[in-house]
Amino acid sequence: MGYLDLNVVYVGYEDFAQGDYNKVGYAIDKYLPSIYGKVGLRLGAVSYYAISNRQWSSSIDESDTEALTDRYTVPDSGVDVFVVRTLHGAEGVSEQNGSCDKNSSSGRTGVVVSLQGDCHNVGNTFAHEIGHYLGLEHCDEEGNFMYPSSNSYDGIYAWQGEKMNQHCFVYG
Amino acid sequence: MKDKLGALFSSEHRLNQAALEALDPADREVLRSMALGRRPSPNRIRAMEALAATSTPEAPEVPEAEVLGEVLASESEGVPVRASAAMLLGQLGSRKAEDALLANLSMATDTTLRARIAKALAKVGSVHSIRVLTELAQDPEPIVRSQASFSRSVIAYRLGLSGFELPVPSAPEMLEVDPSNSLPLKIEPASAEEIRATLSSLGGDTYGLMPSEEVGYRIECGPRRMVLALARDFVQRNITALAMKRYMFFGLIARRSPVDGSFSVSLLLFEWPSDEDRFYVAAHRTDGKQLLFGPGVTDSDAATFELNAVSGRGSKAVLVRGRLQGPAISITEALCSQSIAEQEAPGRMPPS
Repeated sequence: MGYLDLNVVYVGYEDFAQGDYNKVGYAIDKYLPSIYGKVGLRLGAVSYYAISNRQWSSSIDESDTEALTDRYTVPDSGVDVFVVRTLHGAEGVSEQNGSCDKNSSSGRTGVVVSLQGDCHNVGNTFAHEIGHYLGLEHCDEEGNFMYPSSNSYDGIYAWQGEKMNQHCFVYG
Repeated sequence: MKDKLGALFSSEHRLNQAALEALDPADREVLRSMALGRRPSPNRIRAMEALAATSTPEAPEVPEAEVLGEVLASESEGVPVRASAAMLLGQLGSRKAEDALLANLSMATDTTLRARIAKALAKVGSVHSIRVLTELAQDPEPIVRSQASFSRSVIAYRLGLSGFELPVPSAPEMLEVDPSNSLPLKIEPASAEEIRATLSSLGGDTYGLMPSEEVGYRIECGPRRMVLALARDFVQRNITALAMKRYMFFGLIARRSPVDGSFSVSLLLFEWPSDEDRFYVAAHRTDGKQLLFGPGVTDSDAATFELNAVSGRGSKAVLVRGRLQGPAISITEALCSQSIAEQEAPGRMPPS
């Protein structure tokens, strides 16, 4: 059994409505546990942070995401999940096998997810992008949560769980 | 039709390219209805993205500019939807798109929306946008002011106009590279195939730059992969005789996603004359933050330059020394830091 801490950072938080918070809540409380729990990975501490829209827009381009994770970091051992309202070019972005050194310049040191779509879409985006950060590639099989066109798929293989549980941010 | 649109929207990362290419006029009508909110859908923004992505100079783009302009103008819509419409209008790159952005700027009371319209104008703006952006550079919100000022400079440099110079940082603002904590920055000529694949991935979203499809460079810093695309007229002219005495938006750097291999614009590159035989080179993020800066000197038929990183939160130390001769860039020394110089912790979420 492994545990993963998350730091959820609302980017441009003043632009978020209750429906947006509901989507994030669904992803954190229901979707992630339902997928990751199948392979022995559980959420540990989940903390919430905010960046003002006067500092960073809640509507960004894919090209802005590395700058966002370069500038902001929560100095702990949790995965930083930056939540934006809209992200042009993708529904979410992440490095594959992301660094545990959040000071590293080797790429995005956090995950960026948007709230495009319904609750299930958003939940899948969270699970999918965090999955990339924990080392997973896309999976060619429909129904798997790492399928490139994954929509709201929730299938997961044991080997994917083993890989994620080996990431340096997973403990226990 | 439903299956095609389902495939289009279900992509986690970029829109499904095969599904985009398979769209027919009936599909586009459905997408327009979705974009306008007449057909409720959680994929509304992706529908707008699909319309903008498949709008080409050869295809009749007037409906797309009108559709996105209508969404932008609608005060009953939420800011995220309107901000998305603004950015996608920038991607269309047409006069009608510019007109729609300018028409809505004065009525945009929201900070995020004003900043996004300003950013979109960097992509599509003409000399008509410069006056409006000059006024917006006095906006009470810093994020709007900085974006407006930068977008104005992008347009000016693209048109070769002086008077809107980018900042020249002082020596203390520059980051020094620590060779013991740096990696070699590899900069090598890219193949024409690689350049075309990069430009295809960008889908024409090049901030108004007309890039060369033959001359470009591959950049590698550790695991990060980028491509430097150069403006056609920068490549085709004798740069050391002419271009170094001009204001130019001469290139962009596109970063490759390690997950799906797609590219997105990361940095915009500018040069402008300093005095006599000297010039400046700068690289800016698309939100205006200056990341790299340095001087250059021309001699009889070549120019040498040195770029260093500008300090600030999120900056990484970089050193690039090189030589320009004709369209060729040769690098004499290049390093990139393995760590970020200064970062910022976000505050805790305020109580609701």
